Amino acid sequence: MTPSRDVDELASALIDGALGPDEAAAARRDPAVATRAAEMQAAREAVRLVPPPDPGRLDATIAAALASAGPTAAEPGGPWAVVDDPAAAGGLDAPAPSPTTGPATGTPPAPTPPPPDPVRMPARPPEGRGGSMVPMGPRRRRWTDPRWLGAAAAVVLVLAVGGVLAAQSSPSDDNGDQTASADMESAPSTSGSESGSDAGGGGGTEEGRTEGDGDSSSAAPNEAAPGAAPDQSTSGSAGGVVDLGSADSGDDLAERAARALADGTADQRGNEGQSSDEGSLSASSGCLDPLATESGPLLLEARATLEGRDVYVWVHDDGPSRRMVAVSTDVLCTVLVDRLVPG
Amino acid sequence: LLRRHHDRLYALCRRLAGNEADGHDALQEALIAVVRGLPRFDGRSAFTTWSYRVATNAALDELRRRSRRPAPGLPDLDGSGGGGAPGAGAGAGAPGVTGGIEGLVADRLDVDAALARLPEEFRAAVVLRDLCDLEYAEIADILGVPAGTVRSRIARGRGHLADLMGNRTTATDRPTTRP
Repeated sequence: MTPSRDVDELASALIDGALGPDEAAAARRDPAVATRAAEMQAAREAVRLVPPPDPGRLDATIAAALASAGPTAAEPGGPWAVVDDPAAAGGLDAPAPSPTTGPATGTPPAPTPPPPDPVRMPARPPEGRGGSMVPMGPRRRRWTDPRWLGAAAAVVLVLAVGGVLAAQSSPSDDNGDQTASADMESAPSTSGSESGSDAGGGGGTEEGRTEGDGDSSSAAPNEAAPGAAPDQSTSGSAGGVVDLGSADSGDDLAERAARALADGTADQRGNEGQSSDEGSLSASSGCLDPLATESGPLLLEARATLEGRDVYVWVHDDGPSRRMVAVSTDVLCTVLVDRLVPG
Repeated sequence: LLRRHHDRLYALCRRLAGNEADGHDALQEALIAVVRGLPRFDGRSAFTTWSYRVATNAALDELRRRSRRPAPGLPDLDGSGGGGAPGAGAGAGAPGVTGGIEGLVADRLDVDAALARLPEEFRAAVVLRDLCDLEYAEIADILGVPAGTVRSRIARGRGHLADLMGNRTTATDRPTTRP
């Protein structure tokens, strides 16, 4: 035993495990220290027996504490962090804070219930649970920013999805818009909605086809076109659409178109060509007449096979001549032939 | 968060304050200080330690405030005035260390009375160590004193407490050591 240490300090250190193995063994062999340690341990156990708090006061106590922090702090997730009372600083940093003047004095003087059975104070919680908690203030700030970022991301996502949906549904919208604009452009030569369909077809896809652009907006309608082609090709003239048959070249196709015009199909087209059938072809094919806005009245609308490829054919009255354009029926609506029709 | 730590903070306040009513008042002060001080909690120490510090300060503050007002409850039966403990005569009195009414009160009142007789700095150190299981360094941080001082205060506080409680538990075996 170390002479400089009194019995109380040795006994206390023995209880706390603050002695080395040799010192602890020596202390246990000392009857005075062992007895004192036993007395201290008994007192320690008594100190740990704390009567439980009145559960009925728990909510009131917590509510009062939250209310002291602000009007909305009592709400779940309330902004505790906005409270910045210097009076609380003493409770955090100063060993002996100044007397608190908060509303704690208003603790409801509830009648003292019968003393419940004392319970043993539980062991100190592991630091992983309560001790390593993230500070509420910073955590709230960390929550705030992601919340706004998340909302912004959600808005962007919604806009992006909306844009995609709008793009997928744009062909019909484009037709409508283009029809409206074409109505105004071609109104002098054609009547209302009939020419509107034709004009709309040409105006809407002119740039896309000449540039070889096949965006998704025209994909869906074009995919439906091949399915309708056999019926139209066998009928020769299905709904005003003439089947020009199979052509070996652009010249051959032009001659076929010229013959069709000469055979009276042109009259049919000229007389009926401005009917709603024209619009139906444009609408069903998905490839719009590229000459609708830059040439004269439509003389012939036909289908054909050019060098093995299905094509749409439009012939317009272009003043002194007749101009023909053949467009592939695939999703690209590529302009394969753009030339004058003989005769 | 407050619900999770409510019982522990109450136990600390209850032991430091010496009785249930003052313990609740101290707890109320502690929870208010916790709520208000959370924005400044920097995480350098564990939240449990920080909350114990807040509760300790609140409870000691409640003791000081209580000492400045008259105690309308039981008289100071032994006339000692609490031996430096400002709350010795409030509520619980000191029946455990008096022979006349010994046995008429529950054990916990004896503990309260014994703790009430300890000097404030001893009481806080002992409670933080024996009730809250804090390390010397943590207690030193809370009380703002060196760890060696904490160890000394704990030892002396335990010694006093053992003497005070030992008088009750072994009254027939040993003479009282209370002055």
